[in-house]
Amino acid sequence: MAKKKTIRTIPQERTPIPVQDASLRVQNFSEVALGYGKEDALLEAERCLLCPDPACVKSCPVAIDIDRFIEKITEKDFRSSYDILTDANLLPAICGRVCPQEDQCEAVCPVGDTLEPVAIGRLERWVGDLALAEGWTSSPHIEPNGFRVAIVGSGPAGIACAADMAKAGCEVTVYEALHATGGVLRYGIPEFRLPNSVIDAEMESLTRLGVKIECNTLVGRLFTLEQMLDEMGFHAVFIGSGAGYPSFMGIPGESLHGVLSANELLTRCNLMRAGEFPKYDTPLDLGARVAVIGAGNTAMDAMRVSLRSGAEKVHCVYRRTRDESPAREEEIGHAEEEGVEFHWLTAPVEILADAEGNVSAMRCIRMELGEPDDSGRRRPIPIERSEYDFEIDTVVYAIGTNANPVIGQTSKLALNKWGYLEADEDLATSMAGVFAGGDIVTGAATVILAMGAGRKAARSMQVYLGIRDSESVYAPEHIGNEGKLFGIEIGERNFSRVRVQ
Amino acid sequence: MSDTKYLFKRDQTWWVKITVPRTLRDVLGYDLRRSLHTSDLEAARAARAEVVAEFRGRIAEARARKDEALARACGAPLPSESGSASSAGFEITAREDFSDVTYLLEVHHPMLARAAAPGQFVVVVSHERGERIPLTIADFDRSAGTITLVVQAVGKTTREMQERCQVGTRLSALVGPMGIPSEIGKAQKVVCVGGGLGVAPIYPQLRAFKQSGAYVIGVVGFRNRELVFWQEKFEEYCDEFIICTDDGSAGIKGLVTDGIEQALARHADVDRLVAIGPPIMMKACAETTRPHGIETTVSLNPIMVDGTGMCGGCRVKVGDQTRFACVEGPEFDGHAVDFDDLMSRLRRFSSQEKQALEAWSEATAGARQG
Repeated sequence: MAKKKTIRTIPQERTPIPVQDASLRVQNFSEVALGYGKEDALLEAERCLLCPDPACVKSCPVAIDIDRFIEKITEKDFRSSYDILTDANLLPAICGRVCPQEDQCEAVCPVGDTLEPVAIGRLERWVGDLALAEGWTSSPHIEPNGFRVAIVGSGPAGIACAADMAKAGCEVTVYEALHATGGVLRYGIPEFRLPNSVIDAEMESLTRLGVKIECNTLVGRLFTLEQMLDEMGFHAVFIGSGAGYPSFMGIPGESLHGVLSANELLTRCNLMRAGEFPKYDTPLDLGARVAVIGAGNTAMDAMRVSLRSGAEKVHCVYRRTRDESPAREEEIGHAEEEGVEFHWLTAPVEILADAEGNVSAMRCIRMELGEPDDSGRRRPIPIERSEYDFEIDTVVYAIGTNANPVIGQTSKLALNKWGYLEADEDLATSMAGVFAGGDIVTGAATVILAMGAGRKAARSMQVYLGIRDSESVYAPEHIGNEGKLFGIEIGERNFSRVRVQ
Repeated sequence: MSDTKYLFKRDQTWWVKITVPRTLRDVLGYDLRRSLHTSDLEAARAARAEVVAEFRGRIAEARARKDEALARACGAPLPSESGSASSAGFEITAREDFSDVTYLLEVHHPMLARAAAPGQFVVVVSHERGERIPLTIADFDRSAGTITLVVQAVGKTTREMQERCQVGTRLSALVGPMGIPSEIGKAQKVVCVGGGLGVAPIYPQLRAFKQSGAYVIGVVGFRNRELVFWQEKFEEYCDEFIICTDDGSAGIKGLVTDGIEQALARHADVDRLVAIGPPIMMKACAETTRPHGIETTVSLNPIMVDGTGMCGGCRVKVGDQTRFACVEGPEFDGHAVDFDDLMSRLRRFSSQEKQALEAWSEATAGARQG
């Protein structure tokens, strides 16, 4: 390698990513962040110091060899870069788009101590997109081992687990309840943040590993977990059914026309393409003035979908401040640029109706922040007599989700008090051979955390099934007995032992 | 180490042994083994490959046979045909038209037929651009591997299905059975009420009650004599069967509530009533039984998208709680359901429904002329 790079010699500025102009993009569903070109990627890759003990790899939930894939970019060996990425993560084009890198790999990047950190996510996306454009596939040699594994749910946790089990040689079948694959990637994340074509392409790399995907299959009701392990002959099952059950607040007026969950809004638009009604049969009842309650990533998606689906004005109502909001900073920024009006420190108390049962206004109360609560965020406290009404046509709830209840209803799996599946540190559930991971265990989180859980469960399943990891066979761990034979130092072998009285 | 894979030695003779996968041990035993009749390791190695290949073949064969038997038992399509079947949708194997708006479809889905229980529903997508609509399962035939849906053509999707869904065509998607099955329980004397689109779905419940040993009184409502269907089917499992028509052209003249009153007047010991039909009818049934304190179950049909508990569009008020009909229902205590809320929420998309129907009617009219 050439001269060692230092913080002084690398490009100082982070390479900007081209973005669709805010005034244009609110009128279309095309991607907002357009992605790097080749020159951008080469320039940004130069900013990586290739640390000897990279912190970024450790902070990646799926442990991508980040330094190695970036090094391959600088060497212009893009194909190897892709192979390194897909070794850990089959879906680079998806993760490069939706991972919260600023809280993970990019947060610990040493370049970030003095400059902006290396744009790892954008580089990942560029390599992933390049692979899709070039039609690269990375299909490792797979030695079938005769084990049959079922995956419940084709969301991020399920596909990460499916990929690892297929690579280990298992015959994998993924069951999906909806008529299309991808879980939250498909129904939840809108087209302008993650195009469906990218999901389709990445799903194809899964089927190339030999994974079978069965849609329209509601596990638990069509057949139970017990049946899968018994009469259907699966040796192990992974459950990644997610936490899709939307929460409401229980305030008056929630069943009025024009009140819906962000999940419903997003599913109608993303999965069912309600934006193209009546060409597509699924309608959407979106008014001109939309209020979205909550300020997480789902809320941002719901607001930006509303803007693109004909809403004239979109409000965000959140009981804490911008600093406490769980959304990615970039998403809040995008929403702001597109004209969303934020009402921080505001909570709804009632939804008001007109004579026909349609939403006409929302009564809100102002809040102030008190002492930190269990989550470490300062607890919002209502300010007395600060209620006010503002006129609105549609109210969208994006205040979180709960565990999907179907698996719990139809099996004897142990659940915790909130209805999530009980799993130990190896992600094994209370039923032998059944593992679970992602939102159905942890509660609503991110795509990449679910994928990390899927990979972790895959490792546990392999141990459970007795599949040896090829790496560990060839590179045994240090056991402290090297240099000894039968417990005797090798140097002593030819000497007879003498017992000293 | 010397290579003794699959080999073991017993009394100076080499044998080949292969462990049988766990799932096949009931057929093949714990392992397959055979003597090579030699004490020479080299000779044993040379002879090994052939025996191993033969054993592998036996294991593969046993697995294939077991899979096939399983698939047949489960009613699942065989591996060879499963791919094409699921990609091309779900075949309609029979159709019957009861009237100009009510039609019956039998759909081939052996696993679903096997899993379905009274009270459950499916979600259907008729074509690629279609919407997801919930339909209650009207019947299931486990040996034929079909489920029966009875559809009323009221909106764009159901009218379009009325035209398109002929025998041999396929539904784009069919998923289920969804919802919690009916609790048949230990009721001794049951009234089962069906009206409108609820006549067919009440049938499997009524049958289940009869099979559990209850005294079953069936009450079904139609507008007139021409619209009556399944009379023999119902009578087979009913101890008493009351047809109510608006004009009195068949059975008694009046609403299903009149039929219920008649049944209750004859039997003071009715301990359960199940009603399926339009919300206004179910509301009336619940009000009829309320003074008698009879346990009343209703099956709700709110608007749904996914049917798996994800969108919350199907939320209904039951008592002071909000419940999702798709995963916590569809059956609830009729005396606790807020029917006015349900009826209001069913009108949520009325303008879009009208728009879709008009656009479709125009398009099909145009197509017929052109």
